[in-house]
Amino acid sequence: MRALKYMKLDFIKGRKMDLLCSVLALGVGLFAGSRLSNVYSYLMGLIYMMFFACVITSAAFAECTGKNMSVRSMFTLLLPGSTLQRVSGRFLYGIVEIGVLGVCYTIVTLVSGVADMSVSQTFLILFLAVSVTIVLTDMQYLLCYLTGSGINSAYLLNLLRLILPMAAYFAATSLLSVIEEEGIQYAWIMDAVVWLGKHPSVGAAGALLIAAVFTVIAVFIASAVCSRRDYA
Amino acid sequence: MKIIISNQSELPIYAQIKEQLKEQILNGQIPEGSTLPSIRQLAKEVGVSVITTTRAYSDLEAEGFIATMQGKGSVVLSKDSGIVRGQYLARVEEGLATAVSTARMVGITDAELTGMFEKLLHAERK
Amino acid sequence: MELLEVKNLGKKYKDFRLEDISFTLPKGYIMGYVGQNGSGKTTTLNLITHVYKAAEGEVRVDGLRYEDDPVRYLENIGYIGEGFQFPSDFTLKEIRIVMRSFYPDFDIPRFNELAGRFGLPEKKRVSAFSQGMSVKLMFAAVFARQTKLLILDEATNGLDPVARQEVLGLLQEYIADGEHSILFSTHILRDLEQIADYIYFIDDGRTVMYDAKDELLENYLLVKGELALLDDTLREQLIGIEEHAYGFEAVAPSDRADMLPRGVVCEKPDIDQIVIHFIKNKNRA
Repeated sequence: MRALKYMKLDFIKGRKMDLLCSVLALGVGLFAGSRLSNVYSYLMGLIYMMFFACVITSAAFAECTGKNMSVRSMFTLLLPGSTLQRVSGRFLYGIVEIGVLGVCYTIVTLVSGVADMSVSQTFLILFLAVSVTIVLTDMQYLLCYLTGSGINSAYLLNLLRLILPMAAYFAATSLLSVIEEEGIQYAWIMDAVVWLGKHPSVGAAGALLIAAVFTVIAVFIASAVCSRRDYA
Repeated sequence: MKIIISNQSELPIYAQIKEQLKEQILNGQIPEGSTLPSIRQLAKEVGVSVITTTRAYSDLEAEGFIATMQGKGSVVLSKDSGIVRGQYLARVEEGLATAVSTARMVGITDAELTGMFEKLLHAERK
Repeated sequence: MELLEVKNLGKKYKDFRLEDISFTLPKGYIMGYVGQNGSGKTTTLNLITHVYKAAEGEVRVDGLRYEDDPVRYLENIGYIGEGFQFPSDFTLKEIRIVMRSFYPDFDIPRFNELAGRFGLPEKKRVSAFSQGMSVKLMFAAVFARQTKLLILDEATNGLDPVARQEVLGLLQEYIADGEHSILFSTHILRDLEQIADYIYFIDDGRTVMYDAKDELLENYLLVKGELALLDDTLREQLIGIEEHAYGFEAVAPSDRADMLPRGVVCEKPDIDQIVIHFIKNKNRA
């Protein structure tokens, strides 16, 4: 599909940055995760990783900052394809990037046995985390598309693009530390966690499904916005 | 075949091309039956617009010097064709008229002039 | 068939309005799109390439509208201008990969041949190219594709005279088979003077004039004379009168030449002068 060509383009464009940042992200994640050998640190590492993933993939929007740089985006706009295909390709790039990072992190932690969890538990958490990050990235991308040509200061725009990932990061880490200290307070959440533990594949599939639906909706909204905007 | 365009000239460019081609056809520098470069080819070589060369060629065709056939290009017509012959006749007359007026201007008599003319005809025959 | 048809094209912006632009460009011809900075040239071109969206009116390239088949529409168009810049850390290698990915008919040997001819460095990043090299790279990338319509937005500005001649030659070669056309926006009118078939002037978002170049050059004269001659009847005849301390200059239709008073000098104008006086005339109104 043509969307794949746009995704490939994003990967080629980001190749140097991506590689460097991905390795960095993995490193930071692993380091954070390995401080203590338990689930919480594993989750902590994962949160770091996903935060990084979100920021890295937003780099694909670097050219859509402000009026002067809009001209740079012309190259992509002139490539033959519909707006929907172009936007889909961008979202696919984000998703694939996140998926790859998540899988790498998981494989490394599994292999090194850093956290002490079962394989199925690990994969469940992987799928849940990836799905959440995808949803987050969808929102992030939507934000990027919506603010692309509205704001002229590249500085301001970059700042704006950090808000969502940072907010999510803080929310996730505070949640994690609360749970770590006091355990899960609400019975229904505890029940849900236990249930998920017993049906990991259902949980994983469900999470991915939700992420997929979210993504499709985001793609259509972004596409509609772009088809009305100059340089979008 | 040569075409040299002058931006300073009074004549529009299409007319310059037309006149220069006409001249060379009449001189025989461009032989009859030969094919002229295509309109686009000429435009590219000389560095002018296609519309310009199109006009020059269509004028030449109207005056009977060339014939354009779809896909085959433009061919220089034989000097015997009626309209072209007319152009040649006009040239001869022009030449003669110049000779006559020049002669009259410097006081050469009609008899001297006729003599010169006969001598030339005689020389050409050999 | 007309290769490019533009009908009542327009778009409203906060402080600018492009209005009712209409023209056609047949196959095998070059049209010069002329106007001052800010007159709407780039807006028009960007609306045609669909980089600017939601226009009024209609654009058809080879009979197709963007909405009908965006892929084929864009495949038919080759664009060279300020905006067509490859991502800055690309080298020729990445360019080949991306172009081949999106344009199945991208002719890599031809691209290499042109790159060699233009002296484009193989390993250097695009960001390290000089202005002239960047422009030549754009031309190489576009000429290695199969396109029907070439759109140039001030594409020859960064070129030295030798390179410019070379590119103009390539442009004429492009239209040589009668199947391709070029829409060429520039303010270096000298380039157009030679090779353009049609000229379209735009000013302040509106059409000033649109005609065959030869017609324009023939139908108008440059008229100069002393200020004393400028009476009301003369002013009626002239277009875009420019007065200065020692005389005036204006443009007039050639068929009115004998109605002009003795003492004025009439010359063959160049496109520059026609454009300037027409714009001046519009501004006065």
